[in-house]
Amino acid sequence: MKNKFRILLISSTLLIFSSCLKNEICSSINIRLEAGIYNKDSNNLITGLVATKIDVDTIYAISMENNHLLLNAKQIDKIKFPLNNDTNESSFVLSFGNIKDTLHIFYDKQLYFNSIKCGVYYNYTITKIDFSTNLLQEVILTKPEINVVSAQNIQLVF
Amino acid sequence: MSFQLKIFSWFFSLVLLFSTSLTAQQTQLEDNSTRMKKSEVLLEKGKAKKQKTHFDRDLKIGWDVSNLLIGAISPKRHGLDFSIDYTIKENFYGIIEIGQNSFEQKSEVMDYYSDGQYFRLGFDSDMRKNEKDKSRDMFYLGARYAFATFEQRIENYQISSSYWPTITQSEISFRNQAHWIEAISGFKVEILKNMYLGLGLRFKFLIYQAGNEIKPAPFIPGYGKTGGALVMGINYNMYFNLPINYSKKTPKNAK
Repeated sequence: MKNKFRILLISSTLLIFSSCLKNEICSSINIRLEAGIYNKDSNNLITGLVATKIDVDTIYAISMENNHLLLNAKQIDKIKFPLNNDTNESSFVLSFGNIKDTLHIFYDKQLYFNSIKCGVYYNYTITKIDFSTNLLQEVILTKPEINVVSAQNIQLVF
Repeated sequence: MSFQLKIFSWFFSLVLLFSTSLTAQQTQLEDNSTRMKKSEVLLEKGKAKKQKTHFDRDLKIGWDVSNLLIGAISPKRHGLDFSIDYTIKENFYGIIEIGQNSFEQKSEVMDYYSDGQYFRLGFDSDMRKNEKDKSRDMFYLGARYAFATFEQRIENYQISSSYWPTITQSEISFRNQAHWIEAISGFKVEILKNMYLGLGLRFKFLIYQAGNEIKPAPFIPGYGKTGGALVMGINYNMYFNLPINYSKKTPKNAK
């Protein structure tokens, strides 16, 4: 009888403590809208576009004028826009020398659970895009879902 | 006159006592003869059919005390878990387990709560085949299908951004359901007559979680903490056995 008790107690204690040995390391989840830079190209019969690179003086969000997303960036082929988690729209000013364009992005948010220690995050679905056409000619929505899978969501055509 | 009355009453009492004992004897004889007839019928049936083996039909009522042990180590988890198992056939037990679990955990970025009920249905099969061993201890293998309905709630949760200010939301809650299956191995040891202690090791496979945003749920009542497709858990049970030996079957040594 004593042996039975010993086996029960030892095995249960070991199992309980072994289940507690878990140390979680949080990695940051940075979900951003990815925009590719394009020019119109009449030679491309399928899309009519060609990927290009551009110099950008500044990019910042409206209401975040002092916090530049990009500053004096040379020959960039894509821009990653972080979306505001507090609202369902984010607006960005793109400055190319003296020319400025504004991009308004409207979206729905879906809350996703990472872990208790690492928190929650939003995935987004783009519902509408408005833009000015000073240097920017067109914005094409290619993938409305913005999530942990990195992919091009819009094409900025200059 | 009074003496005659006394004699009459003694005589009447004696007659009454005698008749009562006679009736009782007759009833006992009838009972015995009925039992004899029944056993003869059983034996005849036993000869005609395959000889049946005698086994106890047990009804075990169990209480999973592992929540108490876990709660003593960490006060974040509470619950009550009960089980009922019944002998369906020799060494084979049908099991129902029900429980209510709650879990809370606070971190720098949120307060998390999960609370709900679960239900498990399955069987255990006693693997001990040593017929010489007359103890009623068990080493069993079993399987369960399990279902839980529960509410998850997160409070004071923060969503940070590398560009925008971090926002803090007050509360959001979701109703969820989960289905999973379990493979079980364990043993039950009879420590006192009809009192058992049991330890079970469970491998749980989450099949499906219905509901919304908090997926996978960090804690599912009955399933425990999620952390991949396969989760291991233990249960440490106390059982009280109600022996229900109403089975009318011939004992093994009856020939």
